[in-house]
Amino acid sequence: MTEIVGRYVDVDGVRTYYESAGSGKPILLMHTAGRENRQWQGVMQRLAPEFHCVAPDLPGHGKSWPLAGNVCLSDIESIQAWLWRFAQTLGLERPAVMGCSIGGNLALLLGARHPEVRAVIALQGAAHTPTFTDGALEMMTHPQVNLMHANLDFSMSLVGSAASDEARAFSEWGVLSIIPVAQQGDLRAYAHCDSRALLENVRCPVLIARGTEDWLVSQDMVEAARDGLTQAPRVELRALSGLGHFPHLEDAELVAGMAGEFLREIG
Amino acid sequence: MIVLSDTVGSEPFWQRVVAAANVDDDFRQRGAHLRELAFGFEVGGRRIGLCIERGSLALVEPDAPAFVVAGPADEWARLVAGEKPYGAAINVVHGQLRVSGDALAATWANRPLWQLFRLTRHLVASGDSHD
Repeated sequence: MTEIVGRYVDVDGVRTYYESAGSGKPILLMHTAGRENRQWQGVMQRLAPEFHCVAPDLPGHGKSWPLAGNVCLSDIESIQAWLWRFAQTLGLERPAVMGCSIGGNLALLLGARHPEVRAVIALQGAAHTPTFTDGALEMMTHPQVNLMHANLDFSMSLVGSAASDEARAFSEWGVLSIIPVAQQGDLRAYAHCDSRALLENVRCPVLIARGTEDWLVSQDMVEAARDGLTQAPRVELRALSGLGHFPHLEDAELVAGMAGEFLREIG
Repeated sequence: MIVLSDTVGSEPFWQRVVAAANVDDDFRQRGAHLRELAFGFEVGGRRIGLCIERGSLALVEPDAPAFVVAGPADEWARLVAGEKPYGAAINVVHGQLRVSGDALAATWANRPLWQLFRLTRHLVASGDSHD
């Protein structure tokens, strides 16, 4: 089994935890809202024989320190800018960017903002996702709300029927171990994300894939993103049958195979 | 299984739901933290009053709910039949139901309500939802 190594690096004064594996062309992997990089271990192990996989924990997530004042990033542009500085700090040269949910939105945005991006792989990726109200977001850090309790059914309803038992268990653990301020910051960024006007700036190949049983990110949302990518040299939209909101976690083998094939084809 | 939109607004339907909830260990456990939490379901133009007390559900007069879940009867029909998850039905983008009133109380009720709508799905699937 490929060894995954955890390290720390300083990014904008934030002691940032990341995991990496393999060698070759780099892939920057971005976790979903409020979660952390362990989501990607199954995919990393399968891609590591060919690619250099790097998965950070965003500030305040997992084992990364928060920003000064114990806060997290909470707007999509700040998060993409931070991720790009992370990639630069590590010296990742022309990375492919791959993420899921908010990570998928970020992959598209990174592709729009940075022409050095080699390719975009956006799982459940969209450009406009106003799916949470400000009132709902406020509740996440209310002193009388246990977010782990209140959000468990919501989060688990997003997991597809084809997910492995192991993936389902880890997804549940992701909720039970959540950091409310991190979840709130990410979902605030997600709910206010509107990068539709920027999609035409993406000039690299793009693969969008959607778990068909995800009720939060609809087919309409991913199709709208695809249709906005008017200048990308290659755009694919794939349906992942039986999977939900977390395809990389629910079926790491399928996602790694799909990503590897796409990245090999674009060279 | 189709549930008629007038069925989902009827008191007999919700009496069956209450009976099912009160013998369901998951519902009782997920609502055990609640103390006399009264809330309302507005199905089309009809208001159903419910109250959870330490995991036990009862039909009550719908006169003083902490929060109300309201929307068109056909969206309620999809929710109780399990065609749409509770989270989707109340989602600002994907659903037609809206939660108003005390947001904190509604958040406290999340888990028992998710379980309640699993039970309605079973009731509808079993054909026991009709008069």
